[in-house]
Order: sequence, then structure tokens, then C-alpha cells
Amino acid sequence: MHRTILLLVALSILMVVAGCNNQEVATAPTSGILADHVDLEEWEMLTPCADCHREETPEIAEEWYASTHGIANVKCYQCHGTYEDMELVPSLDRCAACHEEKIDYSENAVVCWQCHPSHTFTGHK
Amino acid sequence: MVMTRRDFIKKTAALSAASFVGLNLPFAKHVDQAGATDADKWVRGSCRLCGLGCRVELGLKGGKPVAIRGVAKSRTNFGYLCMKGMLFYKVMEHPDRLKMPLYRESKKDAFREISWDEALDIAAKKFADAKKEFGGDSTAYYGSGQALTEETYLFQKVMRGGLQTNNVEGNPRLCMASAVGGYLTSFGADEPIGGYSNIEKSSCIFIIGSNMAEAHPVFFRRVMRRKMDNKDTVKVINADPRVSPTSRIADMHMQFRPGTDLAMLNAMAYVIIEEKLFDKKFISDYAVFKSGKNTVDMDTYFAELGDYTPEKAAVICGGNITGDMIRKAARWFAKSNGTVSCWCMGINQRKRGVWANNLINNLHILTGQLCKPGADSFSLTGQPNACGGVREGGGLCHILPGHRLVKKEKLRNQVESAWGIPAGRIPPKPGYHTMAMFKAVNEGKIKAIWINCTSPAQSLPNVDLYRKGMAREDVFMVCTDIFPTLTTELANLILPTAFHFEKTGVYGCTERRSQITPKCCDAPGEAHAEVWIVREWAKRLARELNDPVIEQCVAPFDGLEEGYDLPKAIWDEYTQKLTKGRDSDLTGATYGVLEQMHDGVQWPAATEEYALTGGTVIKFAREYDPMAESHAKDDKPFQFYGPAHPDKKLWIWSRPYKGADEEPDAEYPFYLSTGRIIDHWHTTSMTGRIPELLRANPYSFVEVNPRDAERMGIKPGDMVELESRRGRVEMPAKVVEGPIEGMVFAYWHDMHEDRMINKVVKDAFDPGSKEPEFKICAVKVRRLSGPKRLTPYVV
Ligand code: SF4
Repeated sequence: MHRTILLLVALSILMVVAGCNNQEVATAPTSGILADHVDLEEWEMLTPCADCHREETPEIAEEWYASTHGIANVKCYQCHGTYEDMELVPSLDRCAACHEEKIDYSENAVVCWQCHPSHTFTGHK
Repeated sequence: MVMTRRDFIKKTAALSAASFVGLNLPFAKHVDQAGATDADKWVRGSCRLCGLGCRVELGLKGGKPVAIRGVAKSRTNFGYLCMKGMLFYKVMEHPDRLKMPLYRESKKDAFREISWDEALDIAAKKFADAKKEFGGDSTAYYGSGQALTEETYLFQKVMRGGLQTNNVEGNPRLCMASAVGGYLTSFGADEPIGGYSNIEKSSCIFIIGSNMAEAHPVFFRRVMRRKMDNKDTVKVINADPRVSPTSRIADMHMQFRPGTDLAMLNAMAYVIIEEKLFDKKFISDYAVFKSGKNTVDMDTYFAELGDYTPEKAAVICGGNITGDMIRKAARWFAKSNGTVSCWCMGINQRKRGVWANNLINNLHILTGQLCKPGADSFSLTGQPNACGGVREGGGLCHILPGHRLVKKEKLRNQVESAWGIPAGRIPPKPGYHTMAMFKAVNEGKIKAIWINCTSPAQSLPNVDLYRKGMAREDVFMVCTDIFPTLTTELANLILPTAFHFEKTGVYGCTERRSQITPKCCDAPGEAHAEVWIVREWAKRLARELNDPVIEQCVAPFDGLEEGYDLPKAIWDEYTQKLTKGRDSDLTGATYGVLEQMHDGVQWPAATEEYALTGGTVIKFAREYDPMAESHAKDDKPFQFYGPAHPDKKLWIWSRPYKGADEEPDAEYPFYLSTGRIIDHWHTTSMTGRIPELLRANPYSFVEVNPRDAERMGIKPGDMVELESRRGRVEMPAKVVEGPIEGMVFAYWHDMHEDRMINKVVKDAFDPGSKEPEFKICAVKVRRLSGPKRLTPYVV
């Protein structure tokens, strides 16, 4: 198994390096909510979201950083998912992983960010 | 707070500019898009990706895991989960899961699939041959703080009672053995006196050697909440050579030169005595002072602290430490209504780890900050079942189940009698501790070793040295695991096992709490629960060796169904026969009780009725602990009945400052320290297969202080070489105001040969606890190049 993976890795390195030289790198198709996102190659998807979003969406990054989510290291992907299953607006299912009681309490009638400012989540709007 | 948000951004913003290439990512190709709303069944169990024991409900659809959520009524986590807890279920259906036994006679050959019958016969024959030719001590078991208690217990039973060796060890030796040594020598009993709930009652939280924001995120959340809800009345001190995400909530960050915390802790004790901040009555009622082998008085102890006035200690400590800072920390600690100290690997993984533990415990005994709500000396444990399975279940070379020492004949006889095997069957000599065990493997003294649920070929310090032994043709190695690892690559026989939730069993978390996870789905392919594997192996071993005593070790479990009845029978034997009356009494924590609890039971819990209340929140306090009542020797409210102190007192230790085993010098001028990050668990065989977690931290990085970086011309993302007397690695740099000047900090999870930091780390260990000093060694640091294309790597 090890050897096979090494071989595949070596091959993919060769392919991508060759691709780089020819500037023909295939990009991962972006769809759904990622349609508006800059096209990313698979290797670029290995950049933590915040590395770019600190500059691309600085207000959101700062709001998050100062929030209890930010202090407690609840990172972007914990609510929004990753490229295969990303949600621009997280479904309540994702919030429910930690906040199920609150969602039950509101009887699913409202979403969290209706009252709590999204990314800050501290206090009420 | 000392550090503003803006300061912190400046200090810790990741400035990575590395580029990446060459991908064959170990992700499942077809991500199951089913989620919580699709789940037709929710099953309660534990998370296994740190020692907190957060309770989760696994959502199943048609018997397959599709979602997870926290259990709001659980006292361990109140519903909160960190990223690892929220995502770990994704590995269960991963295509890389091991599904069939794999075997090769020679380590040069390729593995081939074989049947379970063949696999178990081979394992039995190889261990039997080793015993026949070289004796029981030529065989060994190396287990894990991730194994269920039933598994560790059954493995050690067959090794000790069957193969007649105490060569039973596990990776908890690498992470919490010094805390065990500290608790035993300070309090006379292992494991913390209190639990997590003290945080909500505390007014001073002293965090030392722990980046809990990343290593224990859900516990950190409680600490954060306590601080943020009580900004003016609760003080948080973070003492660490590295500024980490944990520092964000600190009122004071004490940044000292690595290894000098022993001087700093002694200086805090000095202030407590000099300024008469100690609790005279608590000390006279419950404590004695110890210096070496002698019992001394407080004056002698204080005189011995004379080398550690705050001013002298500040000189030793360097960094930002001043005499005033030490005085302030000591006052906050002593004067608060309740002080909780929390520590982890920064204290334990040290050449003087037991002493460092003693010095923290000293502060609590001196000030009486113990045995009351809001006060505790609380060691955080790294793994889900290091406490429950390994510390309590007999998973180390010197201890038998129920906190019994191997070397005590009476205690050995109790175990032999419970197992129905002849008295004298368990050898009196403790086996090899972990580092000695792998040295013995190197020397060819161990001929057959079973490695369960852990990857020492990556996780041992100075790992290249020990990989040589594991690669020897004359060392037969069996690995039981769920995924291929760097260790399975060195094995002869790989046996596929069930993940928790695919088998039933108990984990005992950091706060003495045992919690059950039931089987609710099937393991892939032909993977089996370890308890089945050990039982079937032992039966064959008995035949090979023609030894009915080995048969007897598993006879009570013969024929039982492996998903539930078998682990239940093992748990019953362990708890009813071997914890009854011990300080870790779990007699009341039956499966029936554990299944009713949202969380679990904190021992001691001698009856089911009591266990159903959740058990003992504060040990030794008569108000909370029935055993303190039943063991009372006078009318005082606290009774320190632990087995290790015959005088039933707490011991305040005089311990001198000693530095690291390997300090920087002209040739190797930097301190190297290593540690965890929030996204990964240990050697990444699981978390490296979860896209979110791998992408968040695809490689190990090395953090370099900006002033050091400037001197060496290192820019963010540059490739940097770290070289010690043992080995070298190269990894991309983060230039951050994290580590103190003169120190670099590397993440330890990366499997890639070029970045595996344990090749560099030193294998010196504490003479008492035998725990290695992962946290400190000396290295050269050199810029190799600008950012380089890197490949994430998982075996
Ligand atoms: S804090 Fe630990 S136990 Fe809790 S969810 Fe995270 S990894 Fe799991």
C-alpha cells in the first residue's frame, strides 16, 4: 500500500510540476456556492481559509477572531464545511452539533443569526 | 487582559506563504452527503480524540454513521464539541480501513491477505516459540490510551497470567506517567482529586505547560467562559515558554526559558511562606514536609527554598519573568477563593517531570487550595482512556489492575485469586518500561511484540533509533489497528480492528469518569473487536504451550458474543473483582448504570445507587466522597486514604531546580520544543484522512521567534532545517511571537520522513516516571531555501 501511494504521489508531483511548467494546471471545478469563489487548484485548497480571508474579508475575519468562536478556535470549516460540502450559510444541522438545545428551544422557528450577529454571535442584534 | 486582540493578531498571525504540490490526498472519494436530518437513530458514546471524554451522539442512517452532535446533558462537555469531535466519525467509512488480516513472513516481503484462523495461529505460534526458547520476558505488549478498558485489561491478563511477563506497557508512559508519579508522591494516590466542574467555581486558574486551547479545546471553552463572564474577579495565569492561543484569555503570561519552571514554582512557594499566605491549619492537619528521604519541618523547607527567592528565580528563568511577576502570581494563587492549576505535557514530558508535578501540588497543599469546590491540582490527560484503561486497568509494567503495584506479593496474590490462577503465577519483577522495552527490541531481547492501537514508529522520541529494532527480522511484530501506519509498515502481521461505536467498551477520562460507548454499527470487512482477537489468540496460545492456565485466563469469556456480552463480562470481572475496595472502586459502575448516564461515573463509586448520582466529584472530602467517610481515621473533614502514603498525609516536597537533560550550547544553540495543534490527533492516521482537518494543517510547521528569524534571515514559509545530535528534519517556518527567543516549536503530527520531528527529539527520560523529555532538546536551526512545494503525507 505504501509503495503504491508513494508511486502515485511521485506521479502526481511529476504531472503537476510538468503542468506548472506548461501553465496547464487543471483546476478543481468549483460549483454551487463556490461558483463565485476564485478557482482553486487542489493544492491551493490546502491553505487554511483564514489565511486568505484575513485579507479578502477582513471585517468577517476580525469579527470572528474577537468572538468566543474565535477565542475557542472554532474555525471557518467547523460551521461552513470544506470544499466538498461547503455552505455559505451553514445549515442549522451544523450549529446543532454544539447548540442543539438552543435550537430545540427556539423550536427551529428562527436561525441563530436572526438574533445573534453572525461571526460575532455575542449578544443580540 | 494583558494582550489586546490587535497585539495577538500581530504576534500569532500565521504568515505562511508556502506553495504546495503533488497531491494524492487520503480522502474518501465519495463523500456521503447525508447529514443530521437524515439520521434515523442517534447513539450516545464518547469522542476519542483527547482526554476530555466529551459525550457525543452518533447519527446513523441505515446503520451507517452520517452525523454527530454533542450531548447537552453531559457534565463533560454540555454539548460542545471541538472540530475533531465533530468530524471523527468520517473516518469510520474511509476506504483505507484495514479489513483483512495481512501477513508476511519476512519484513522484506509484501503483505498478503490471510484468514483469521491462519493469522491467530501464526500469532500464537510466534509468541509461544519465543516463550519456549527465551522465556516469557522475550514477549511484550505495547498498548494505548485509546484502547478500551476491556481491551487493555484482557491483554495484560493474558500477558501476566498467561505468558508470565510484566512486559505490559503503553503510550500513556509517553504522556502522563509523570503526573502519576506526582500524584502518588504528593497525595498518596493517583489521579486528580477534583474534576472539570471546579472551573465554574474557581477564581484563579493557573495554566502551566498546557496549550489547552488546542489540545483540550472544550475544557478551554469552560476556562474561557469563566474568565469572560467574570473579567474582574477571576484571574488566569498562563505560564509557558511559548505564547499560544491559550494565552488569549490570560491576565498574565509568564514566559520563561524552557525547563526553568521548577525554579519559578519554588519561588512561588517561597513567596507563599515569606508573605505568610499559607494555610497553617490545613498544613498542620494534613501535610508533612519531605526533603529526600527525610521528613523535615517548615523552617527547613523554607531554608531550602532560599536559592529560589523571586529575584534569584527570575534570573534563572529569563524571558519576561521578574521577581514582581512571581510575587503577583503567588498572591493571586494563594489569596483566591479557589485556585485550579491545570497542566499537561509541558510539565509531564520532562526529565524532571515528577518533580515539576510535585512543585505544582506543593502550592495547593501549602495554600489549602484542595478538596473544596473551585480548588484543585488538575493534570489534563492527553488520551481518552489513559486514565481508565491504562492507569486503572493495569496497562503499565509496574501496575496491576486497581492501582496495585506488581512488586507487592499480597497485591499480586489478590489478582491471581480473582483470576483463578495459581498463586505466584504473576512474576514479581516489573517489566520493561516503554523506553527500556524498545531498547530491548533493538537489542533483540524481545522476540515477539504486540502493538495495539498506537504507532511507536512515529511517536517515540529519537524514533529512528527504535525503528531499527522494530525492523529487525528476528523481532516478530503484530499490530492491531484500524488504518495503516508507519508502525504497521514494520509489522509481520496486521490485524484489522473495530473502531469504537463498532464495538462496546468503556473509556475513563481525565476527571476519573468512566463512560460507555456501545456498538451500534458493524466494523468493515473482517475487522474484529480486540477483545475477540485476544481471547481467540489466548486459546491457541494455551494449546501451543500446553498450558491450561492460559486457557483459564480467557475461560470466563469463552463463547460470548463479541459486540456486547464479551466486553460486559470482562468489565464485570475487572470492576467487581479487582476494583472493589480499592481507591478506584468502580463496583457500582456496571454497564447497566453506565448505559443510563448521559455521561458516566466518577470513581470511587462502590454501589450502583451511588454511581447513578454520577459518583465522587471531590475525592478525600467526606462531604463528597463516601470512601473518605468509610476510611476515616479521625473526625477531620478530609481523609487522604490513598494507598501510597502510610501516614495518610499530603507530602510537600523540597525539590531543587534541575534543567533539561540537553541544554543548548555553541554547537546546538536553540531549544526545540514540540506539541499538538487543534486540527490533528497524534500521528494523523485518523485526522489526516479527514479533509477539513488535513487542509487546516497539512504539514508540520516550525514556529520561529521574529527576532531569531531576522538574525537568521528566515521569512514566513521559508524551509528551515532543524538538526540535533540524533537527526534532522526540514519544515516550513511560521515566524510568530510564539516561542521565546532562542527556542523553536515544531508540530509533531506529520508522518512525512522529512518532517517527522521525533527523529530529532531526545529520548532522555525522568528517572522516576520513565517518561521521555519530548519537550526540550537542543538543535541547530538553518534556513534552507524560500518556500518549497510540499506534499501532505499519510501512509
Ligand atoms: S475536546 Fe477532546 S474529547 Fe472533546 S470533542 Fe474535542 S477532541 Fe473530542
